[in-house]
Amino acid sequence: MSDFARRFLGSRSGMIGLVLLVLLVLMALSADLLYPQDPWRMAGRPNLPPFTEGFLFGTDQLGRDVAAGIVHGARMSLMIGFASSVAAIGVGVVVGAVAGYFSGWVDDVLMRLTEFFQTIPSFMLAIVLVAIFSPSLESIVTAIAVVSWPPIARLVRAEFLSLRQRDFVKAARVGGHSRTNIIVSQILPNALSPVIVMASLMVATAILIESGLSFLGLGDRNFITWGFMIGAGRTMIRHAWWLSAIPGLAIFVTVLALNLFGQGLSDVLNPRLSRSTRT
Amino acid sequence: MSRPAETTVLSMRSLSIALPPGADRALAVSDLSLDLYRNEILCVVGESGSGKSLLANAIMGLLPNGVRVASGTIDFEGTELTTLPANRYRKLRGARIAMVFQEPMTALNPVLTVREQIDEALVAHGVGNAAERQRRILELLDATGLPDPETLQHAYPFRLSGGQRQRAMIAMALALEPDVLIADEPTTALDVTTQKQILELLREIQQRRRLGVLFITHDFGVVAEIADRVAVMRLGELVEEGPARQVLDHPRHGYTQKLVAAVRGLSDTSGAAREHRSEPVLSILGATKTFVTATGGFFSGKRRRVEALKDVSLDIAQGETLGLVGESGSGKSTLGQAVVQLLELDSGEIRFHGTPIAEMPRKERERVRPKIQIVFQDPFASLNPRHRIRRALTETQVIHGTRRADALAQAERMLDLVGLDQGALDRFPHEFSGGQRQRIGIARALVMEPELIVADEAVSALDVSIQAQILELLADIRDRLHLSMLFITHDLRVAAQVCDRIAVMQRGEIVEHGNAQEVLHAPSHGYTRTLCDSMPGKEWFV
Repeated sequence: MSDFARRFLGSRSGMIGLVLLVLLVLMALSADLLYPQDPWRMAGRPNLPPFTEGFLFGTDQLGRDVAAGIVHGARMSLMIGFASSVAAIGVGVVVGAVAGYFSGWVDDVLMRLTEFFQTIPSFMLAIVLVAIFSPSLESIVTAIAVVSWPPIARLVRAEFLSLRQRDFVKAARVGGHSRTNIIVSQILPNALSPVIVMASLMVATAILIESGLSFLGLGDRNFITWGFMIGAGRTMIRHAWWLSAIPGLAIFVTVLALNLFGQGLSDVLNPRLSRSTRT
Repeated sequence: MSRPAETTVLSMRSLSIALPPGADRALAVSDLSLDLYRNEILCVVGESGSGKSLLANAIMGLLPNGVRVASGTIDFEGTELTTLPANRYRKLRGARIAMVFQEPMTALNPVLTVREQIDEALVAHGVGNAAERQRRILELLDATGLPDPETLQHAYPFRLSGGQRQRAMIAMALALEPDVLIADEPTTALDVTTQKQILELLREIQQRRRLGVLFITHDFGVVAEIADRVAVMRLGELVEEGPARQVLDHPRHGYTQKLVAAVRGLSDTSGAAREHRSEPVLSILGATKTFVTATGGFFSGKRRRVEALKDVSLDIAQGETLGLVGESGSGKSTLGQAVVQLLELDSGEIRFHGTPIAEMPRKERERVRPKIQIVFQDPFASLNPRHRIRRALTETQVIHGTRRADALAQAERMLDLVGLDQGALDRFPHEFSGGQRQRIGIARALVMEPELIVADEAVSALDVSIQAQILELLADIRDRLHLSMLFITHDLRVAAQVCDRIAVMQRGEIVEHGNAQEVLHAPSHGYTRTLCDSMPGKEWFV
């Protein structure tokens, strides 16, 4: 593990991503300390530009503090990103592992199902699902998870297909290990590296999908989100550009941080790509 | 056999090749001076990690990223190669110095036909017009002994057998009539009978064209078969160099003596072959297995049938070692897998102490299964890279109901038996060498106190000196624990050393079966005779 940490510390993009992510998480966690009041509350005169006295990022057309919205929105964006990714990975890993390990007709059935989901444009499907189940935190997380698991399933299946042929798996079968034990403790740990890398990138995608949904007015109205702020500010873009630009920048930084972090993980977890080959 | 009168074509002086920082050692090749003459075969011999392949790559100017020539010179007929610009190197490579690789399937482009690949080399170096090139291609394919060049030139690599691919590879290397041919383990991936043919072909072409051949190998048998001169490398250093006969028969350096002894030791069968008359531990009766694979897509309904086992019957007595010898595709591994219940037979049965395993009640089968264990070929794939050795050795025991403390004590005993210390328990597989991992693989098989061990090419992936150690270890453990062993191998030399009886398999059938000495020294079946004759360096060590 120390070797892992040392190599990750040596990866510059990974470290930049990690530092940005830590700052974002700290910001989200301390939202109630920084801006203890409701971000929906009118706090000042409308359309104040950034860096006005008392309002770091100015105010919107209803006089709400943009900085408060950004800080509270970080909480929502990160939460939805992580929750939906965890759900998607859970489903994807199970489907992929079962398909890859058992192969044959089980594989055929599960992969046709996966392809069914893959052929539908994912953002469209997410919109339809949220619209049907009415916008709420749960329905948004579910919708994002439903559209994101197929790539994970395919990845895990491919890893399993190759790993199940390895001698150490055969050795476990000769030893009489149960199928569950072989899948969970013999094969899965060896298949996880690419999944972890993909997961970090998936959080970024989930945040983008959530922002897109909120922008279209399909967000949960109990919580302020970056996508909603952009959507609300877009009508004012010529008079008050910062209402759209600042939440946009927040999304950009978050997605960039996750991508850098994912790339760093990939460098560390795929030593074949980063380390020179031995002869 | 050396011809000092011949001129030097390739001359290396104080050559050092540096590895990237963090590698096992600083220099892959250090301070090496070696000459290759016209019209000779110079064998560079060494175990894995000796730097012999990097030497070949350095000559070709194909060193991998991060590896570079640190000092010294490589002179090719007056041209200094180490400082040659890339564009001039390209003209030289292929045209004057050509190379044949170990694995012809990956060295050939899978989406081009044989003709297209040779043609490409000719076009790249601007040879003749289309008609002339076509004539040359047919000539080359004919010269390398490929059947029916007219038709075969349009074949894709996957249609060819391993030997044919290597012939096509050689044809390609010879296309521009090079002066020097570098062959990097060209026969290691081939079956012995094919190996013999390819070695003969290389020898014949070398003499006909008066080539200088730098032949890289790990196998002293191959050296005895083909070399004029030998250079022995160890950890990047040249330890001995001289005419083949002299090095083989009177090695001066201790390391060479050790390697030669390891090969000669393989042919020493005096210790093996004991009689066993007890009841068989395992009987295989009429084992038959056919693999059916779909080809040509889901709806075409085309099926390819491969008969891996055809009515095979064998017995193994207690304490006995039965060798199962055959080339790739003979079905020997299929049989091994069936014995450890990794695959089901189509018909026939496998009996353990007289009871068919398939007919046992589930409880009984679960109890019996760990009594038949397997040791795999590749020590790098046979241990779970994410598990410590402690877990690898105790997990299966715990699953079968052993208490954790007892399982650990057993693991420690078995580690001791295979010659590793307790410190190994807390380490991961990647911290061990190939030979050590194979020892761990054996310990893993032993912790279940098996009665029968299936050793599936258990020493094939190891260097000769390690191979000898592991074989000794297996024989020792077998005698001490009164184990029976099914020893699967493609190498008759190895089989002769440890086996009491040998069964020779060809295309799913046992063609000859008997006492190891008889099978080896007085083979009755034609195929066994071919196998025996194909053993590289046979005249030298028998």
